[in-house]
Amino acid sequence: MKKSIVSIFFVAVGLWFAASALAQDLGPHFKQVKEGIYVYAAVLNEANSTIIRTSDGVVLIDTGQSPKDSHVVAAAVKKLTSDPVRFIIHTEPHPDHVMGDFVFAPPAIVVAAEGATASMKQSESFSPARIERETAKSPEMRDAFKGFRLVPPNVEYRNRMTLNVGERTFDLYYLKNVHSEADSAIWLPKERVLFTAASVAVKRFGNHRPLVSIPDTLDAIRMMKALKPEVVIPGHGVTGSAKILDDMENYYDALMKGVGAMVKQGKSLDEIKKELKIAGTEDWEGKDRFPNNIEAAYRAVKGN
Amino acid sequence: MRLKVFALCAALSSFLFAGPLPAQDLGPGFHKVKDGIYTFAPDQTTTTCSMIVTTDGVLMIDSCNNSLDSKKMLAAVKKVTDKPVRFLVDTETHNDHTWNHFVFSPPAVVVNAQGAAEGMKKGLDPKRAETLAKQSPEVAEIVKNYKFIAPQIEYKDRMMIQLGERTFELIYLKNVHSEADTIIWLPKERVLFAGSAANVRNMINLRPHVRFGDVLAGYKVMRGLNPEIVVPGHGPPTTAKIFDEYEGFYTLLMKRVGEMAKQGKSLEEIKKELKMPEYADWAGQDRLGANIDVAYASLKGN
Repeated sequence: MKKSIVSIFFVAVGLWFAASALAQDLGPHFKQVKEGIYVYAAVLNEANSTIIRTSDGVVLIDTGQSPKDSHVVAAAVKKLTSDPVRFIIHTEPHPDHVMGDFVFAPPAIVVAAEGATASMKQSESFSPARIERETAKSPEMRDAFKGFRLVPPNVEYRNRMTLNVGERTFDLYYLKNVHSEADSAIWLPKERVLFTAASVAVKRFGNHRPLVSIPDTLDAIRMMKALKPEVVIPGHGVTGSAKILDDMENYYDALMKGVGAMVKQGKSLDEIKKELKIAGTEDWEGKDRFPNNIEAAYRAVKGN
Repeated sequence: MRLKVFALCAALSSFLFAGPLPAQDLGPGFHKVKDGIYTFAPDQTTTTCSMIVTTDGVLMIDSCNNSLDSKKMLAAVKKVTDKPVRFLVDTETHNDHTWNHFVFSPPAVVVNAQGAAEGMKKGLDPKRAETLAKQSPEVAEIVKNYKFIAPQIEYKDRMMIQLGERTFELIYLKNVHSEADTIIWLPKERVLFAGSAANVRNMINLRPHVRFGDVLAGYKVMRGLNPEIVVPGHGPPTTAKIFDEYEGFYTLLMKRVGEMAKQGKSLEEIKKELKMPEYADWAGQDRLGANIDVAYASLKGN
């Protein structure tokens, strides 16, 4: 009798270990942020890719900076579970988030906001010449790109969508004009985990294309803050708390005020770019992007 | 050389025979709508369900009126392709369209508009599988695997599915029939799955939340797509003429209800007295009362 109790105990412990693979078992660049949710980025500030386990299969949020990373994520999924990757949700359609979709789809179903396919098809980043340049970078990269094909999303939603997989719910919110042509925030209400897309960054200036609107970005940040997230996973950079949202809100507020005041003083855009400083951003990365942040604020101030 | 020619002929003929199957090969009740698009609609009133074959798998629309129909549909899918059913899009939440999800999902991902899961749960009879199992051993064999499957995807307003070479545009229609109604538009094929906003010469079972203003707005949206073929929620494939027919019916009904209300008649009196002889040949005459209720509520702005 005692023997069978001991063996049941060992089986239970073994099962527990098998079921709850620790992030460090997946590799050095994985971080478990909640039970069954693992964030990966090989290098700080490269695009995050997240594995989310459910009782009905795996959901990925983005597929990594490059196909090399996608293969690392695929290997981690296999370590965690024998379940398939059922869905990939894009936070944006840029190549550093979606290039490796082909590693998982099919069978994975790719979900994105409306406009993602058009953005991907128009982008030079997926052209054969660009892929050739990428694969020429190293033999590992050439291997990683084997079987590459552009995988446009199977599902494009407008404004809002909910995805239920197993016990988990994913609320998708389209974020307008925050970074790319089709940005999605993904909210897991039960887990209180929020994926912000590249609408925010961590101590880093965002790369603002001409379509980006700072007032729309501020609206998006305030909407996401209202969800009261416990864990915030940005498109790039380390996972944190709602403080990431506070910091970016403060930054954009200060940027808008600074640019607005200088416009009132009659300063030109070039003068503003030379003179404007935002306190608290001295140690931020991506300083070469600060001018395009000013341009976005200038457009907003001028009402363009 | 002769062998090569023979092999080539054999390969060619097998390729020709592997083309789209005529609907009659799938069994009675199946209609071929376009290449690779088949609808099961055995009569004028039974719930339709459809399959659309693509190079990347099958998309189904509704999971059929009952489990035997679902089984027929699944057999038809297997005759047409070896690819899996990857999506199942619901046109509404009611049991006759959704109860048999379990036959197809998993692996199919079920999709409908926001509010669908809640709507389905409201109409759920926990003993339905048990009751149905008593119908016949064949039904019992199917429903023993019954499991409630809510949509995995609920969208708000609009959504697009790209599967293989086909595009499916999903549009939410408000207050036209159930708690979550979706029409599905295939722009390249010009085929519209119109759900139960309009059927084929059949008075629809209108629930109290339906409003004719919204229904007529829905017809405008659907007509605007300029479909070549319209597959209704019930009945065989038809054309956009059904929107005209129903618009005519509802407009006349509203006019008559309005006139009688102006004369000071109560809803009960209107229900007793109002006749629609122009539509006497439509099926579902016992539903005229529910249609009058909706016309009355629509006119009163409730």
